[in-house]
Amino acid sequence: MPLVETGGAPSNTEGPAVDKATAAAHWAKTSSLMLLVLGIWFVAGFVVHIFAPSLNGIRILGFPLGFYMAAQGSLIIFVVALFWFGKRQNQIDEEFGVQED
Amino acid sequence: MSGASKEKDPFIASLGKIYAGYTGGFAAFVVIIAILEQMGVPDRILGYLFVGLTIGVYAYIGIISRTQAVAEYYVAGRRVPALYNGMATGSDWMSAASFIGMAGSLYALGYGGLAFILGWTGGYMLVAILLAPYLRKFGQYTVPDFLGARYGGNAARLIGVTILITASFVYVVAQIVGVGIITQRFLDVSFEVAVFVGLAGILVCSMLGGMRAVTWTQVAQYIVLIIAYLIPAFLMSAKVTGVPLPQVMYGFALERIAELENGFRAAGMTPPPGVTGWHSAPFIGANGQF
Repeated sequence: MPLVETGGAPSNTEGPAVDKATAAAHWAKTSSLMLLVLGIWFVAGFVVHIFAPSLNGIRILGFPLGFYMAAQGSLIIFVVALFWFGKRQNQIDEEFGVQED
Repeated sequence: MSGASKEKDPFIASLGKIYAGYTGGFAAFVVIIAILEQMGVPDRILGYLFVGLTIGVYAYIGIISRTQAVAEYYVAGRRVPALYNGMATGSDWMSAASFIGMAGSLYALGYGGLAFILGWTGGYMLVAILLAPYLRKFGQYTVPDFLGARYGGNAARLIGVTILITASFVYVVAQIVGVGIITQRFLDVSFEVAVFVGLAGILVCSMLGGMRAVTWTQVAQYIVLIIAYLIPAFLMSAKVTGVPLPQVMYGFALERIAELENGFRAAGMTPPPGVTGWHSAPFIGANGQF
């Protein structure tokens, strides 16, 4: 089945024209948000679990805390962080006028 | 992202109705199957019905989503609403590899098996933070293309291709083994035949419509999967602890398991074959107490 290109050029060639200073400011905010969320990811994904054996001494509702973090806690942190990241990035995009639509 | 995609697509606008109808249909189908089971229809027939109807629905979605436009085929036209894209991604998260593979890994590895859950959930975070927004803005379709353009040259592209093939090969092997096992159980055929029947189903669902077909069938599968995941867990929680909230209550089940395993250990028993150790072993403190 032959696939056909429609809609002409890829959308990156028709992006909104932004001057260099705005683009740099946008990227500064975007990249610091990125590093912050990556930090959250690293802490929830690795740091917490390095201390799992000692956290397992703490029990909440029958869950050893280290186990709980691996089974549910870190995953909840991941999901909440992603929602927050998406919202924050949209705010940044709107602030600099580079949002979609 | 040009003017054409801005006007309200009637299909996108009526998605809620379409999938609500689908969910109702699925619930009715489950009730009918339950009634048939009570009437004494053999399991084998029920298995055929269940597999036949669900694959039929997915194949139908796959066929009506067929497309020849590249942007539709690779990225579903970039206009899947976030909620539905989340549902489709979610059903990837909990597909055959996790439904049976994860349950098996946790049973075999115990606490250590949770690393897989952390890994592939955390992986979505890396994708969302580092790759997805830029791939979307880039306007092309594949990660290697993006890496090639971003870092210039074929070395980056080659690294991307190598990683993608390694990861997707491992994932697809697990997935296909899962498909084979499930089809084998339901249709009562040999594993080899089951793999090909399952693959034929996947092919019908995905080949004609690419990403567009896959997304809309995945949303349909998400609804089935989330019901199939939650109902047994809630029922089990209600039966074991009296509170139908498994997420909160299984801590008590964990304590009970530790108690039982302590008993087994005291009786000098060893863990069953294929299991690396007592599941509660990582939680036993220095004083031998859970």
